[in-house]
Amino acid sequence: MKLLLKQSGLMLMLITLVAVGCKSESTNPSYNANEFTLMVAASNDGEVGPCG
Amino acid sequence: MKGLAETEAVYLVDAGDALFKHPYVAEAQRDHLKETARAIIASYNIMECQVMNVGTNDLAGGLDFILEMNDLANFPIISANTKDANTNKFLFEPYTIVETHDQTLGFIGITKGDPRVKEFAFSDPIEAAQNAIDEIKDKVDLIFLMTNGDDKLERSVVAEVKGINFVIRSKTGSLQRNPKQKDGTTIIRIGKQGKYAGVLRIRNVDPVSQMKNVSSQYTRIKFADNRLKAMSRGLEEGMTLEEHFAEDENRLKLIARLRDERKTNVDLIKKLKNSYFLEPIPLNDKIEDTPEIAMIVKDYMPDETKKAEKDNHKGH
Repeated sequence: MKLLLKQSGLMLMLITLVAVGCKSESTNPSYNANEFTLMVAASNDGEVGPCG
Repeated sequence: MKGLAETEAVYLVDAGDALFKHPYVAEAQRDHLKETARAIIASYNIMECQVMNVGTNDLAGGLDFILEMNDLANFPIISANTKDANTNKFLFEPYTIVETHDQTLGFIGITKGDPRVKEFAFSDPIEAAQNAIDEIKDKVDLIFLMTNGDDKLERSVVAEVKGINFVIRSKTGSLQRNPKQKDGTTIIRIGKQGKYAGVLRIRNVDPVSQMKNVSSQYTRIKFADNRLKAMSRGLEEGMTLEEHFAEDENRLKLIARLRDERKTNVDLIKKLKNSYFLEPIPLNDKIEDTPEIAMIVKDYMPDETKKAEKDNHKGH
């Protein structure tokens, strides 16, 4: 079912990437000074998964 | 990028139009699309989203629904210029401040507005943005203006609003891999329909130096890393590439060139005080599922879950 695939994929990518960030946040107290990363989402348009 | 990126903190932000595709919904689809929107907010909660700007499409479910989403969200939903049309009062906080380990980031949200969303009114986005910036500029290191609107609004924002470091656009036609910079403002556009997420990596050392785009340096570093990694396949444990290819002069030259190029680009990035690069990540079907999101799908969209299981079963 495409909808479910879309749904699972959409945010799963983000969640994986963010989870990496969160993990490093909890396990690595020494970030590179003056550096950070934004995971930018925009115009998701109600989509919930991979858009080919 | 070892040595440069592995120890950075990551923050999810959304520039608007996350929940619906249009500023209206057909009656027949209303309930279904609202459930999807709820699932998106629930997913963002799990992902520890830091902020979401209100786009006009986010208002398609009506006033009560966006307020319900605001309650459901564990993160601030912001807009400096969206009002309740009946009361003429602003509905959301105009900005939020995110603290990293050593930076203070200000996020402001504006939208161009849309007459099709009847329960809402919109004040002038330029004025609203400037007022919010003036309020927080002394408290933050960088200002991100999340702008939901067309190219005309983007041009006005860049020309008229003072003090923006980054404009993060929603309602863009297409992805812009190489962000534009104008008058000290960098414009981030990552396209539409959730096709991409943008990884925006920022190094901000001082408030004076201009942000430099180091995407080409990162691309060269990635290229060198990939080539070196490809050559390392099948390498005996503990053996270096140079040892493995000791008898192959051409390979040794290539390895030396790749290592040299990598170091040159890493050094160049480190020398710059303020820099950024944008890496668009395609959200395609290569992405694997996770249990947390599967639970959300089950909770919010049980019918789709059943259908998907059925389709998967048929596929096998």
